[in-house]
Amino acid sequence: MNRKTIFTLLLGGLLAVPAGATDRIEFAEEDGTVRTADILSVSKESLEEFRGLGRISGRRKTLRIPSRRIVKLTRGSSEAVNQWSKRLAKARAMIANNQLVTKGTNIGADEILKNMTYSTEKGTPGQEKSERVLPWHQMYALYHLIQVRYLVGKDGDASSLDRGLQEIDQFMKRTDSKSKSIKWKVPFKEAFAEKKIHAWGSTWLKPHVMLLKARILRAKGDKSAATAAYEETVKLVKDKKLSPMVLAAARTEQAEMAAEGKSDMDAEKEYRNAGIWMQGESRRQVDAFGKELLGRAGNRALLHGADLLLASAEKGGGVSVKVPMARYKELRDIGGAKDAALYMGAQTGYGICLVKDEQGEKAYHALLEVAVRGYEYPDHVQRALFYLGKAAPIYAKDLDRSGANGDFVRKAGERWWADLRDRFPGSPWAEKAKTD
Amino acid sequence: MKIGHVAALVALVPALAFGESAEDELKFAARLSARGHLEMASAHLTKLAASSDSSLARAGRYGLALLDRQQAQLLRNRFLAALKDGREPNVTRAEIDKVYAKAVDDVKAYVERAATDYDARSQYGELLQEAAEFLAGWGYPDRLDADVKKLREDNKGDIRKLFDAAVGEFDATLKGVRAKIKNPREMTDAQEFNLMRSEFSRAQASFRRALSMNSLALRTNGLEEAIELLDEFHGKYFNRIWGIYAIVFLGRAYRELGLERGSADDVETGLNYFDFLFGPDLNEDPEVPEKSAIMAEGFYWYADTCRIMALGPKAGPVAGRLKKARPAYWDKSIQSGSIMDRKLVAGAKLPSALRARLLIAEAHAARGDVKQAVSIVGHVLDTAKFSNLRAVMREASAKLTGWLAGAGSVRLDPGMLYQLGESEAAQGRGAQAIAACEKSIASSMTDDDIERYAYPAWRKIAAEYRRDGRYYAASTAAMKVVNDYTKSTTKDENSRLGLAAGDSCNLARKCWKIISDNTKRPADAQEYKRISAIFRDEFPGHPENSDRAYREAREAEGDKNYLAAVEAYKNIVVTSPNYWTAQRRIPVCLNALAVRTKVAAEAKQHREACLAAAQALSALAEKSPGVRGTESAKQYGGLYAAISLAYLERWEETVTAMEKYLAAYPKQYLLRGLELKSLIDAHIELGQIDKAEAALAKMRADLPTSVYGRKSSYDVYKALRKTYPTLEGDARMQMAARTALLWKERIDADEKPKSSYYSVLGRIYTDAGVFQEAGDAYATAAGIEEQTGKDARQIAGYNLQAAGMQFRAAKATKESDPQGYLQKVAVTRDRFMDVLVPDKAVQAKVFAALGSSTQYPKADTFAHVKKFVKPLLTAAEVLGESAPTGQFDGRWAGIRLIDYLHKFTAPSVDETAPEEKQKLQKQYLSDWWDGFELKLRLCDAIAAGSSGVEKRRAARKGYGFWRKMKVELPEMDGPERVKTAAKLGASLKRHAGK
Repeated sequence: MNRKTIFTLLLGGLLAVPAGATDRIEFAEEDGTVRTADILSVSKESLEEFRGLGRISGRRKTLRIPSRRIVKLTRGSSEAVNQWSKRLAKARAMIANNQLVTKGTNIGADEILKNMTYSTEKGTPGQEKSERVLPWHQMYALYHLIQVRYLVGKDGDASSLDRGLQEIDQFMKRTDSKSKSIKWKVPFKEAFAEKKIHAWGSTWLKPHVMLLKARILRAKGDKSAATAAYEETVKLVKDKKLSPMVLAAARTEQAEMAAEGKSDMDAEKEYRNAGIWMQGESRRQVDAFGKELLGRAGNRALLHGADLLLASAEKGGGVSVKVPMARYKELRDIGGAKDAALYMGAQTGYGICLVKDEQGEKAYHALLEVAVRGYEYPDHVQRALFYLGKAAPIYAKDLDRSGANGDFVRKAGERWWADLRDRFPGSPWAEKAKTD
Repeated sequence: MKIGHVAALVALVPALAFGESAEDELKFAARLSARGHLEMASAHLTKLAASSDSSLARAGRYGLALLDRQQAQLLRNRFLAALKDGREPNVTRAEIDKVYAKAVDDVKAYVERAATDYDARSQYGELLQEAAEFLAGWGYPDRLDADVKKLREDNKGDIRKLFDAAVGEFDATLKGVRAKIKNPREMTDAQEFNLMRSEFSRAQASFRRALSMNSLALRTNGLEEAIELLDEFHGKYFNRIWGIYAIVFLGRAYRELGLERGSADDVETGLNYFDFLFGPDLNEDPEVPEKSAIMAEGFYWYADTCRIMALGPKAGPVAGRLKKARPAYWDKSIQSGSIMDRKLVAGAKLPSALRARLLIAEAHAARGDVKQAVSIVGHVLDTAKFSNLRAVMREASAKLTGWLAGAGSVRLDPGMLYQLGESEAAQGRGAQAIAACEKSIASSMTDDDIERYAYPAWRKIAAEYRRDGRYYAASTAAMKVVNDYTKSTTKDENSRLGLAAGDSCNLARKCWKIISDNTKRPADAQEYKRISAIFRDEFPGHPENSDRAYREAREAEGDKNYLAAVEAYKNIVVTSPNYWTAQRRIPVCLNALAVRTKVAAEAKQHREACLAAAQALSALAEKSPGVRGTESAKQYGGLYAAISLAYLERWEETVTAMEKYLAAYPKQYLLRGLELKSLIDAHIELGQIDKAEAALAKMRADLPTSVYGRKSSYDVYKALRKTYPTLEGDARMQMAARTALLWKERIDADEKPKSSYYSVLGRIYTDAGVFQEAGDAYATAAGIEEQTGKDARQIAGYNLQAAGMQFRAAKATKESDPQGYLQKVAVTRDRFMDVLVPDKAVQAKVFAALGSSTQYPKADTFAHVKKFVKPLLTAAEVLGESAPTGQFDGRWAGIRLIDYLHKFTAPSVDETAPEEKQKLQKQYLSDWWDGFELKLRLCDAIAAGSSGVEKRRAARKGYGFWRKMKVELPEMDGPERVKTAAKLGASLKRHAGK
């Protein structure tokens, strides 16, 4: 996998619901290269593996992909003959458009997905193929429904979170079951009735659903239960050597939760621990994909920790600016050599520390590198542009003092801020550059 | 666009109203104006209008009138382009209206005398429509809808009048053309053509008039009338090109009607008309340019109609009343795009076709397919750039920039992004250019893409940063390419990477030159040398490296090896692109050499060589007029010749040469003010002090921070200081005041001015007659001296001067404010006394002694001030002015001061050696006699103002003194003094009695 894609994965996280219109799988090769295949048929989906027939760059190919290397898998297609498959694609599109719940006469994704979850439609003779609901339709519908519950619930709807937990329970029962069906109380004629419903057996989605459970518990404010859920997820993924993406997300979110409400210095410790833990796990991964992904996730946590140190120093929290400066430098020089995102982030932080320390020239050159070569990391570039505007007058003054003419640097400083306003008009840094 | 096409079709019509030769002349003028040579076309037509041949003269007048119209169109297009870009137009609406009004008057004047020239009348109708449409705000961007509405409301009367006049012209033309046709079945081709064109113009006029109306009823009625006329026209000429063109207008008329009435059916009818253009009718002969133009226009209107329908009523140019947006129209637009791709082979590069593509791209973007949208716009950008369609380029890049900002992680074609970067850079939008180039780099995944686009994009980024004065950033970006090249295993200077790296290295080199020139730090100079070495060694084939002789000459100059540099510059061959630059450097080097040579004779030799080189350069440049670089060479020649003349002290020639130079290149101070300094020097040397002052004023206005300002100001000051004592009266005082001003500026600029500077200032102020300022200056001098020098004698001197000036300033108020005057005198007296007798205890005794008319202070009381003759004299005068105020009569004190002054300025022969006596006499002669006269005055004043013993004592003292001097030195120091003294003596004698 090239580094850019890995970084994109890390940025994207696991929350995003794939909006694609067709059955498609994105997966990583052992060396980390990400490929995309159109799914033609699926022969097996289990906790550990995905098997089927696909088309890659126009060629048919048998797919046998360990679930740990699945990056994205969308099932349900708007071009399929089967109406349920179409509905699944439609619901996904609605989630992507934030049409999550039914409001009045406007149908939301939840309604489509909920109806799919229990349907026993078999279709009319001669039309079965297009009308029949298949177990995987229900499994993916329930998975997306849980996602909807979480998305609605995290914005303040507690009942949605509760429903999500119930649905996770159902999901686990239906995937853990060895038989092809289980009995479940389902909505029936405006009440509930126990009915026989499809069970699906093990699936690669299980750790993802467990992660969702931890998120829902966190959103409910139940930190201890959420911690347990995160740890359960981490344990499952580690034991079964499942998706490093889930591992990275679970550990990062756990640190994030632990840091909530703490001082910058204490929060930094949480991120540092998580970073070191992920880097340790990275070494234990079985393939390059996992090693690189977890390594970078660890780097991100460490970088965030350094940012907190800087924030503490800025607030005058008893930490000298030299402390984050040294940390950034270390991250840049050690981890940054193999991780451009870390390099740019650490270099930005380092430059900011130098500005705070009135080392104009060094700061200017450090930030310049980010501004000119960090174009793939707009967040860092914005910060760098802002602090370039701050570093320039300090550097120019030093030049003036040494008998040189620092005006050209002073003017360049003004231009960096103009750039910031032109290129990132809505950014808070651009706003700051207007008022500072 | 509409007007453009109509004009294009009308241009196909031969002008038949003039003779063949007149037509040829008109065509020639039209070609000239079409190429933008309006002045030449105008000159040609003016000549034609003055011709004795009436046909030619008529053609000339008509052509001139049409030229006015073209001028108006040009201005209008510029104005509208500025509005579209959101720039401030550099021409106002009023100015354009005026040009249109002139064009209308001129054509009208012609048409009135040629009522049967229907071609001209038709053109006149077109012109009237154009003028009306401009009044109605046609061509304004959508965002200015409110402005358009206001314009139409404000100008509704004029708009209607102009359109009615236009329709009148078209009706008359149609009538005239029809009248010429005797049998419709036997029309000539020309007659048929004229008829068709007239009918089309008439039908089209209804449409254009309807669109410019502000009232809904007028608009809809006008559109219905237009539909009727156009439909009839199309039915009549359905198999002719004009008939097909009418379809575009029919479609547009229905579209507008639909938008006005909120009727989707009418809009659909309009779309069906456009759709008709994509059908088989136009497929025969698709290569015919007119057909392509009509098809492209049809596609454009189709896509634009879809856009309005898809976005909803508010987005349209006309405020329609359709209920809501219908996204399905985006699909229609996209479908039309695929038809366009198939059908429009010949006309794919037409502006209408490219604009239609932009609308289709917008449809793709609206449906979320930004990648497709960007790809289409990239193609449009490419084609527009190739065909030099700047307006389309601007529209395309504006769209792209907007979409790219929202494209997120969508991977786009790096080539297209690079092109966008280039386009943005060409439009001077540096930040957008850099952003597009960065996206191009990020999208370049394959080695081929990286070589093709990413490296040139880095180079472009570097160039943009450099252009913006961000040299470090430019160098960082440029060196990325250079480092990749030097690290590559297959280094080929002529490969894409090699070419980009060579340019980048050269750019980085230049940036470091600027940086090191600014910072003057050895490390930066070292970096410049390092990159220069890379450039020299790695890119020997680069054009700037290949002119090695020139580069070596520059390096020699950089190393201050001027003679070698001059020789090297002389050897640059005339075919070198740097030839003229090299020629310019020769006098520059010789000048630098002359400045740096310390031996005067040698410096003069170099200076003469510089003068000769500069004169030769001017002569050389004169011989090659119009060649690039010669204008600058001429300037250098003139400048260095004048400068050299100044150095050679050939002042009159300097003035002539420099004034000529400054007149030719006003405010172009290549030598940062040395030009004016030389001129000032020359004027001073030639005694032209006023001109020197004028040149100094110019220098201050044009170059307030010039390094030569201070020096020149001092020189002018010195000249003024030398000159004003030779003048008399007001002229002297005014010049002294100007002198004081310059001197004061100089002192003010000095961080630690000396006391003597203020003393000089005090003297000049005294000469200028401003005593208050003079007093202040002396007081400041005393203050400085107290702080620094602490020379007691000097301090006393300055204080006496200050007090003296205070007295002189006070004297000016004696008449106007006698009471105030006496107070001032009292203050001044105290100041004098403080200096003359600093010890307060002694001062008290002195006052007591002075208070008695019988006691004299001891001689040594004033010993420490004995050399201050003038202050003593002034002090005496001051004391004399202080009328008896209780403590003592100051006049007696004044008399005693004079006695004391006389004692040491005119010692007895016995006491002083003859040389000393002579010296003293020479030094104090006039002061001595001034004291004498003042003493007589004081005695006379006391005698006149008192009685008894006091009166007699004073009168006798004065009278005795006068008699003594009259006997000893009867000629005194001049006849004036003798006369004055005689008068005073007579008065004293009277007071003394017997």
